[in-house]
Amino acid sequence: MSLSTHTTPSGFLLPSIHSAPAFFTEQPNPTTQSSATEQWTRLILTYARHRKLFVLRVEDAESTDSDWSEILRNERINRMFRLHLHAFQRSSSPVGRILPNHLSNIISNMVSKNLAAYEPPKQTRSALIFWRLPEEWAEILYDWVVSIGQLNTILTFYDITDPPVESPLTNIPVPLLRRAISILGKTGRSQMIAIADGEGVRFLARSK
Amino acid sequence: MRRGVGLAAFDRQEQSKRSFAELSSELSRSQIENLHSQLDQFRTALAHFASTHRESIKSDPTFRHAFRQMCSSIGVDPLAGPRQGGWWAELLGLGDWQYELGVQIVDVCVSTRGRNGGLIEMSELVRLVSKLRGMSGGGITEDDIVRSIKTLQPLGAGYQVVEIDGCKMVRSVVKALDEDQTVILAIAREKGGRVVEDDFIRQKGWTRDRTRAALENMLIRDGLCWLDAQDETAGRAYWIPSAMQWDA
Amino acid sequence: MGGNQSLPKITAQDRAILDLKLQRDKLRQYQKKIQGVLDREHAIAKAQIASGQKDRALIALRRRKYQQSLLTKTDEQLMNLEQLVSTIEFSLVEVSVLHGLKQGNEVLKQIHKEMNIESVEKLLEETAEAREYQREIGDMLSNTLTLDDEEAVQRELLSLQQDVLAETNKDVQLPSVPSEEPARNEAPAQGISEEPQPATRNKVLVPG
Repeated sequence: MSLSTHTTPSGFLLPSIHSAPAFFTEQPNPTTQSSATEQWTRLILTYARHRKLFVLRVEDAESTDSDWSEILRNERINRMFRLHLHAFQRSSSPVGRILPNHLSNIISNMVSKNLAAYEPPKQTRSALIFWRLPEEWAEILYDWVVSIGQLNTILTFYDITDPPVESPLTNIPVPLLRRAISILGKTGRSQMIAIADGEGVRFLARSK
Repeated sequence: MRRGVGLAAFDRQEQSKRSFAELSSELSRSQIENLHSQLDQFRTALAHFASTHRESIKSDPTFRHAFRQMCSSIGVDPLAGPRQGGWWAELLGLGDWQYELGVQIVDVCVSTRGRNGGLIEMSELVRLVSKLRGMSGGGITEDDIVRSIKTLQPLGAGYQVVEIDGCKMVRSVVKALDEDQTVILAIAREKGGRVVEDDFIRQKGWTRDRTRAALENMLIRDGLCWLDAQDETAGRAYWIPSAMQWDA
Repeated sequence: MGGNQSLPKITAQDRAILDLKLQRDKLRQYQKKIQGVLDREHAIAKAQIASGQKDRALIALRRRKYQQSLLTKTDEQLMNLEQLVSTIEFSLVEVSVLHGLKQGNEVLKQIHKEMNIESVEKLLEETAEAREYQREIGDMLSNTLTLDDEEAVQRELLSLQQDVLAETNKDVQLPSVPSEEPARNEAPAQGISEEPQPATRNKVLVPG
């Protein structure tokens, strides 16, 4: 059995471990499992960065056409093939895939390391993936606002998440945006404004 | 005898004893001098040899082998590192070579430990170490690795070369492989890394209990293999990373 | 949260602007939705033509036309809204410019108040007087001295000269009286050593 890297249709280079069938099973040995979780975490973060994906749901493990299918499944591990050879039915899934419970454990591990956060909070089925930390997002947000000359003007969230010209923040989820804004608020660089109809934010020059 | 009893005879005896001693020390001094000059000559010759061929020694495995044979015939091993090699190693500037290789071996073993549980096939190790050294490092052989691992022994990290079914493997964790595990590793190598219980029941005539115990021990206690619980034929397949080929 | 004090106050204007911008966002989102509907109707019409249902295709196209007119209408509204927002924001800039001008004017006035013609004239007069006074002192000091003064000066000079003379005498080492009968050839030597003394004295006196 030779394990090799593989480039997905979206241009992502999968590490060779992704072609190992056992990579898709939760390992009973804690040392092995922590090594596997580490590999999964790295894979999820780099893939999220590659595709600009922000949210990972446990149910993504069960779908064949989610944004994450390229890494959560491996069609090249063709279990049907061997199934054919042995001529008896047993497998529940013809391809290599991570099971929801396994994915849920990986997400929880990522949350514990601050590489992800459950969103909405108080549930464990979906999480924001921090392929950039909220602190990094805050700086990117502030730099972007300065670059388009919008200091001291009032911006709506929609202005930021859906600007006419695509920006590094296009499609950023509002909960993540809120975190970034509140981080800037700690240094007096942002100010939230709320009215009955919604919310807005004003960015301010860095005070000395 | 009688003459020797007198006081004068005593003196005389002392006298001759002294001159004999002088003579002997004279002789040994000249011998030592002789030896020193020979040694100096040899040392300069060897140092000259080593300095002109240092690059070849470091990068060319066959040349290194010949050099090592020549050295071992005179009872020194300059490549064995500063400790074993003594001043030879320092003199010839080759002591670091072995340690450097040792560090690279440890690097590879530790970085692959997560996936193979601390057991790596010799050819795989040679391949990964060569990759780590890059082109400029020159080629290395199994023989170099075996020697390097010997120099790692004082560290007590438990690095050891074990032979399983004619195949050399390097173990980087202190764990004794029992007989059954040796058999499992051998079968896994045949099958490209993946084994299931039936393999042993069929090929080795083991009972299911024995097979399961051996496999689960390797899996849970030793972390030497990975489990594929989604395997369609057996439900549980065991993957032994050290018997698999990794591209990266 | 010490930074809070430095944040600007949220004014009624701010709220109004935010409100307008939120309305604008809603319009934009609505447009996006209509665009989606347009695309869908187009696809439906196409599919129905392909399956030979011309009537249905026509209906779909009619719906599409209607949606298109809606889109144009919202375009106008959006433009109005955006113009309004721009106008308000520009007016705010104007207000701040006006405020700046006003403040500058105030300062200028203040400065002028302190710089009325009278006080300037008075200042110039005073300066001239002071200059005159200074000149007088200078003249007075450089004027010729009275006879008395001259005499006093001469007297002072004389006494100074005497002081200097006394000083010089004190320093001269006179030879001691010989204790023996002088030898013949020594007599002229003594004469020589005697003679320079009056010469020195004369030299001292000359500059007086």
